[in-house]
Amino acid sequence: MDAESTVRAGERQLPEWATRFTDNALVGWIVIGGLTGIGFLLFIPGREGTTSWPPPWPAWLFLAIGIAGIFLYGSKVYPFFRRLERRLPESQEQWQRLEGKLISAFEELGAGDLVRSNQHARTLPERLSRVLLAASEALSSLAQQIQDSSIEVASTADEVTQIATDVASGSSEQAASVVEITAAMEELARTAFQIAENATRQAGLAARAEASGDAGAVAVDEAVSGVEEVQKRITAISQRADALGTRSKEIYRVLELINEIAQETHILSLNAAIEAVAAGADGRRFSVVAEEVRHLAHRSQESVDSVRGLLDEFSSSIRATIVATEEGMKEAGRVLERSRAASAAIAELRLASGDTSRVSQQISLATQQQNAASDEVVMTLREVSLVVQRMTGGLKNLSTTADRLNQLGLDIQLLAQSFHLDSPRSLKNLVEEWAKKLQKAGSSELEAQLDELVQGTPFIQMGYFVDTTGYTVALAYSRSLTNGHQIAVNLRELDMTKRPWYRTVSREKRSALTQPYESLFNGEKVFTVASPILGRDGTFMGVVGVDINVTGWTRI
Amino acid sequence: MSPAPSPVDQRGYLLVRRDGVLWGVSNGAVEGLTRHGARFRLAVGGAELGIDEVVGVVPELAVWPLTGALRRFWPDAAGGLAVHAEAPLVIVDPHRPPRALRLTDASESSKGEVADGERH
Amino acid sequence: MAEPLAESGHRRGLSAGSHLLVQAGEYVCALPLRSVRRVLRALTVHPLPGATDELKGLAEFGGEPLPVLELARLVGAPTGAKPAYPVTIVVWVGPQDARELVGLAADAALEVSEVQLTSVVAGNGGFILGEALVDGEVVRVVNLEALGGDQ
Repeated sequence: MDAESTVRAGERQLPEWATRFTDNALVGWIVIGGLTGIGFLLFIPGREGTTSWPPPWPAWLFLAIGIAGIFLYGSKVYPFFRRLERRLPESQEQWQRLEGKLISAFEELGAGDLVRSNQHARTLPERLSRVLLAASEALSSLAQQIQDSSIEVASTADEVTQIATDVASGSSEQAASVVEITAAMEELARTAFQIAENATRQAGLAARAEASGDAGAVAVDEAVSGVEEVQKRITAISQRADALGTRSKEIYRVLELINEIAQETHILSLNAAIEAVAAGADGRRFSVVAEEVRHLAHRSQESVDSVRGLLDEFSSSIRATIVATEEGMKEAGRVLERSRAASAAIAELRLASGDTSRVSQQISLATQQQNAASDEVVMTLREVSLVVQRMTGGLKNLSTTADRLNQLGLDIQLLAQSFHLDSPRSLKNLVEEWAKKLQKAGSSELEAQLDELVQGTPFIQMGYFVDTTGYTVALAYSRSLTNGHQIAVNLRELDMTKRPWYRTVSREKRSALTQPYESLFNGEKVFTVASPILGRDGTFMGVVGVDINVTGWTRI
Repeated sequence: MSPAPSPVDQRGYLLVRRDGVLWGVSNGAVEGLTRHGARFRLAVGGAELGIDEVVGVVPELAVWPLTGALRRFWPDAAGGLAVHAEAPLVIVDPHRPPRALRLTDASESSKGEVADGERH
Repeated sequence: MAEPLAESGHRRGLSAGSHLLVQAGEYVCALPLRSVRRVLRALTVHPLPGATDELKGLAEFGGEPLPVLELARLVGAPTGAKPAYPVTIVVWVGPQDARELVGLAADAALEVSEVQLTSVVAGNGGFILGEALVDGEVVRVVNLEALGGDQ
């Protein structure tokens, strides 16, 4: 006795007497009575088909059970079914109402409008409401996850596109660099060839310089030997001059001694003259001797002066000679030093010439090796260039794939947005909220309020309110998204009743979401979300719609 | 040089030096000899004389009187001239100590400084 | 008015004759030979404090003290070149009855020469008796008698 059969029975209108046979209570009386009687009768016969009286105890037991059953049925079951029979029409009505609500809820759910579905679900019994709301919540959560995932897919696609662009840019730069390097390597090869030629010439010059250095070294060595010999002779002269100077000093001392003797003699002669005068006449001859002695002293003095003069000249010459020899020694020393320095420099020059010759040969060899290496580098760079070209082709495919991925993300987003969720990210919910606000606004405030709503939503390109005649009563477009764009057509002159979104909304009285199409406003790809404006009594008053550019849908 | 030399005092002479000049003082005339730092003070005739060095004592000296030519060009008081070790010296007159031997400043002078000629 | 020395010299008992010519500064001085005791190389002189500029100091001569005078200062001679062999002339000074030995420091002892009295021109006094020409050179004759004692 399920509700369904009860409903079906209520629906078919059976005759009164037939309905009593289908009455479960009457059937119950019949079955129980029948069974009790049958059971009693079956236990009455004894062994071998004879009838026994009194009946055996199982018969009495069966009879007692049957009577108890009849009593119970009559006291409990039959009244129950009687009550049930009285409540059945009520239940049928209640069930019909419940069914209607459930159907409405599932219908809204099937249409993707989880908000209205939840509204219907809340009117259901608690258990049913809870289950249905839970299912709706799970579906809403899934839809939002799908939205998020679509945005993530689009972001990933954008990243891939950016990476592909960057890599493509890098590849272009790399290709340009390869070209530059190739040119530089060729220039390097030419320079190396010139260096090799110069090195060869340098080696020849170094060989000649080495030979010249050998001859110069010999000459310098001879010059050094000569200067050393001169130095020795000058030293000998200087030593002799010193000896002469020493002798002249001794002569000066002797002259000084002689001079002193002359002076003493002079004084002695004077004293002799004095004594001669004191002696009177007897001293006259002595005074002559004294005078002679004085003359002798005078001549001695003159000789000393003469010798001193000569000695002074001699000493002056000796000094000049000593000075000359000293200067000569110094000069010889300087010449010797310079000669030795020249000899050392020539030796270094010879070594350097030898080194230069060897280095030149090494340079020549190295440049040849460098040329070979440059050729290898050029070949390698050409291979790199081919790889870069192939990589650029692959990047283009990657970019195309990224575009398809982006489109896939948009498709998924649109699929998710087809659900009307109780979420600020649900476009249908957003537009329905706008519809409620615009419904409350006066006609003079309509456009201003619509403009405020559009400017406050960054991903909305345009919003509009179209009345039942298809006339665009209010129009607003995002200044940040459409700045500078020319309006392709005056939308107010168009009859919007022909637009697909208008027809869907006006017909189904519910929000609608279109697939991307080319906007009449600026010719770019947009999709539209539209919602009906209904009066208090549910009459259709118009449509509120928003256009969203496909390039900005990730900002939802 | 005349007249002939004659010793003034048989007791000998104390030889001292002042400013490079050698002086001789009769031992009998010496009243005292004291040391003042690196220098000496000689008490003669009641006066204190400053000397740089005490050269020594000689038993006798041949003393010549001062000549007129010397007095003409050197008016200081002296008892005569002598020679010792081939060096000339001036004999101090104990009654008239020479200005050349006076103490040079007040710090050197002792109590009861003798003015020139006062003790004579 | 100064009289010719020839006459005054006679009245004073001086006679012409040999003179020792010595160099004193830029002057050549003549010393009467009879008054010259000895010519010596310059003696070591010990200055006496408080002496005049003319007195060089005391020296030792023959074991006796000898005052030494600067001849150039005595005669007022300008300072000459530094002498190579300075000498000390030991002379008798003062009057004949009171002669004293004095040393005269000179730059050099030149020669003994005859000085003609008649050629002597009297001086203005002091230690120079007069001037004379000897071999064309002016010599100052020193008045040795004026050197002795207080005059």
